[in-house]
Amino acid sequence: MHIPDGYIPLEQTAIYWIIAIVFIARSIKWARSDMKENMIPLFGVLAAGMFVLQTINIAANLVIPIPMLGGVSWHIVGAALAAIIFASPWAAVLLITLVLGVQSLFGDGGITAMGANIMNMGIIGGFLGYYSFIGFRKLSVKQPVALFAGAWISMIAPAIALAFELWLAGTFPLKQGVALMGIFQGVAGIGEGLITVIVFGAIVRARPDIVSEDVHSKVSTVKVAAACFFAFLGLAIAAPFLASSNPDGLQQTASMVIKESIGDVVLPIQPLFTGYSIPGMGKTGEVAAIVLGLAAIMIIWLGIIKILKKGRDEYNRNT
Amino acid sequence: MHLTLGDIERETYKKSPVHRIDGRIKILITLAIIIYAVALPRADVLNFLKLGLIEAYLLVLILFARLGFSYLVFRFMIALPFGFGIAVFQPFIRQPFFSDFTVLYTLPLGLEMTREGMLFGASIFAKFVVCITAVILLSSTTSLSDFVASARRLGLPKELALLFTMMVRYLFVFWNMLGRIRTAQKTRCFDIWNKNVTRRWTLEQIGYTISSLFIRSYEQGERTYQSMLCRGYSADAHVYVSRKKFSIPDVFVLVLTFCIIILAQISLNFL
Repeated sequence: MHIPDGYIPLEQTAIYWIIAIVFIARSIKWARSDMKENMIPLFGVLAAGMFVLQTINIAANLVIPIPMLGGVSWHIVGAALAAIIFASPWAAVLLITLVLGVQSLFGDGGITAMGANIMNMGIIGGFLGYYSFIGFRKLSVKQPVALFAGAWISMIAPAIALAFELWLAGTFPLKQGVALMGIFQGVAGIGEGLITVIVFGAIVRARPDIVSEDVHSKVSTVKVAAACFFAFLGLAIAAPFLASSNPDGLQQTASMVIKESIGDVVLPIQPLFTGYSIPGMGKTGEVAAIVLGLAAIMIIWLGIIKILKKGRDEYNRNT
Repeated sequence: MHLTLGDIERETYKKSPVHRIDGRIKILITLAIIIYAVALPRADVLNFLKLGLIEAYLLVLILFARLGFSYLVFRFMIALPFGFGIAVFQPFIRQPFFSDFTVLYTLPLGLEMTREGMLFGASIFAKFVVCITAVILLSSTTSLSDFVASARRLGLPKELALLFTMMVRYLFVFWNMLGRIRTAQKTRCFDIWNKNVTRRWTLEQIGYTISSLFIRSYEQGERTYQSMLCRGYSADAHVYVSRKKFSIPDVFVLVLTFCIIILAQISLNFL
């Protein structure tokens, strides 16, 4: 899933490069000072290990038992893994940047497109993978499940970003791109998730001192919420371009049934936002409607979790 | 056949006029060629002449570098699939930046091949091939350590230079480590395609291989870091690179490359 040279116009690659450079600079600062000591040499050596472990091919039908996938294989990326082990998404940015730098020399991914590749796999993959893991942990999801989810998101989010970049470059239509890359990376993400769970468990058993597990519980909810907000914002901006203007199957069937059988009885009930949009605001209206909708879903979800937690606490106290 | 890191590094130790060119020059000309190729218009028949001229120049350099033929074919075969996969779709896609399309053929299932789409697809694929050729030439004639040192001389920030130096130094150590793990697994008849064991078990073995590599490289990093501390490593330490002057052939190649790019751009416009 590395974008090669020539598939994104030069001016767009420049934007991705600028974003990537800002994040790389911050990640180097993290390796120098945010950890207890200057860890730059250690990360250099570890990046070599990361490069080599990305060359391990894993058979696809180990994860999905379809005989058709017999010869297909993929390799793990490890962005979420690195971020979770070092309890910082900056570790993922730094390691993925180094690995991609050497990979592009070997013809895997372009030089001009490297900024976009770093942005997808290192920044989007690392940050969303890490903060979704922390978020799930905060919602008291079991650790292996949260690890799996974090690793899966760290694979699917870059795929969607990649589809959008190729669409902006005019190289690939959006819907097909999201579907194609999404399916491919969604499947690879299952493997990435399973391997991440196994590897994390093995590392915790062999060298518990490497893994900063105590930091995981101390990450402020604000950061998780911010990452969540940016992810949903991206999704909200993206969704109107993806959403079809034709009513989907459910809506269409519903309207047919309603018109034929109950007719005037239910018709006066109008949806809050017709056509997924706030009237009179155009595309911005669609974005705003989706943001509002997602926020409402989030609030309801958090409320349910809170009630569930309360119930469980009371249950624990009583027994 | 399998291409390993060692094969690539072996090519870089050959002796040829191209191998002798200063690493800085090779990085600069590779960057110049790639940026020029990417910056060409999206779809233009002249693109092919321009890219063809540059590709021919690169092939002459490859000829001078005396790279192995099967090695080259294999490098291209590894690099091409993803790019080819995207390019091959282009004739059937209505690109947003063209206003009108000429349909050449209509295939079943409502697929239509358009002239503009074909031109665009062929154009990005040609760009991609030129870029890959340039990168293969660079990586087959410059050893990784020379590459990092040259990048440092060209002004790569010292922290990044240190990171890449450490990475490149240990790349082959871990590559061989993985090779040993694989040999050991093979002697125990481990095979990821084996259907006689459960998938879960196989997946676990792969997971353990990965975690073993991760922990070993982390521990190697710790040891290296501590021994560097013993020798006085501190935050303002940096990788030392000696100053190096350009020789006359170096300057000649640099000037020649830029001449070729300018020639491709100017003269073919008059055709």
